[in-house]
Amino acid sequence: MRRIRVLIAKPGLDGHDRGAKVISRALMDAGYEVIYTGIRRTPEEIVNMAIEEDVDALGLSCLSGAHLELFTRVAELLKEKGRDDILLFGGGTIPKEDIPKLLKVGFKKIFPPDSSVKETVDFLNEEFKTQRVG
Amino acid sequence: MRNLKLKELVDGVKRGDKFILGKAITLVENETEEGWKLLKYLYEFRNKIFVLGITGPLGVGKSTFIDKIIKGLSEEFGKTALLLCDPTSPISGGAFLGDRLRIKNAGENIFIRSMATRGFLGGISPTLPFILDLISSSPFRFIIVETAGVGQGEVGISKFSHLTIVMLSPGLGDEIQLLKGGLMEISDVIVITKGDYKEAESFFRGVKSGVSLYFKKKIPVHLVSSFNGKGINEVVESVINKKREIEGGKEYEILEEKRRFETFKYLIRERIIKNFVESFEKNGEIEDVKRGKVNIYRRIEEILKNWM
Repeated sequence: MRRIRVLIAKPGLDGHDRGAKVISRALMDAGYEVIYTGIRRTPEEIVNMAIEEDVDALGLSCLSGAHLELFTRVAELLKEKGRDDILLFGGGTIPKEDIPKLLKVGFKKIFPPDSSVKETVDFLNEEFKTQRVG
Repeated sequence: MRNLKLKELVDGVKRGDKFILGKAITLVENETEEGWKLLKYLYEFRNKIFVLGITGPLGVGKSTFIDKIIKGLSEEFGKTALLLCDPTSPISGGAFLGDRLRIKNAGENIFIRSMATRGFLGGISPTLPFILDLISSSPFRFIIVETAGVGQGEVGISKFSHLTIVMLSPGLGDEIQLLKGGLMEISDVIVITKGDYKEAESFFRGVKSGVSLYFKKKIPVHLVSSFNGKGINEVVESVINKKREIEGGKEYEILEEKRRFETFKYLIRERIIKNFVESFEKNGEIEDVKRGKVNIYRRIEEILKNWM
């Protein structure tokens, strides 16, 4: 049976991972297989994990302010390794003016502060609605 | 991404290309036709593998411990695959796979994959045996399987591993637990974690004396701390020695026979039994079964008679 696999990742030196864990749990409750990277991972580590785990989606969480550099690097590496088919999304303390920049490098959606958990779940449900089983 | 052709998958797995191995495992895990085809082709290219099973209750520190031993073991044995199992939610069918986050010492020669148990009881996923066969045709020939956290009766891993480490931590009961069948019986090595806790030493002594008193087999018991590194090297050495012992004697082939037979049984269940149930669902007979209109005992006898 096909299950949608999602990697939730924390790039960089930021240790604030409550959001990432809450999202991970909500996605499990919505029927996804979620792999969590844990904190302080490099973009290289994250992309290698996404490849080995063969995920369908990759969600990045960053609350340190370094999202432009880190998120962009992840998007570049996915392209380099031929896995830019993986659905990319992100969240954290991301100012509104940075969102278009991230969408431009390949992010499908960014969830800034005040986004609800449900929005993320709904977003993935919509993206994978033709592929859901069970 | 375009779909990979069968030949690309076969070649990629044989080469140990992590990208393709990742894709191939998904095909097998999802029990797709492509996945079965791949297994069929790769079966002729199996190599000798060694499977180290690591099991124990939730929270004893299995993943954290693996992170501490992985470097030493992969330096000794070369390319290493880590398969990390966590439970599937019985409510949503999803899973939170939270083992990999503990692994921080993985280098280029280590391949890691997280697996949900997908409703299967026993601490492992129902497709694990096939994934072991798949990986055996790749260069990753030392394979560590971490089970989901287990209780007393979940011994699935012992059918597929050549060496099984059962992990416990201080506070998990008294020596009566050692007398019970199930989990404790499948251990080849016992590792007690959290050796930095103040009650660890007395727990360790209790297990050690219980094991020497009640167990037929001689089982080494180690006290380790992933926090301060105590005892870790001794376990690495113990695994290296045990592996050599097993591979040097008749035991390896006995364990392989068991693994092949168990894999065959899993295959019958996954391919034949599931097909049967599906065909009953399709032709509507299952509705009659639910309503009690079919004598199920008679019906099964008929099916077996026609089939044999």
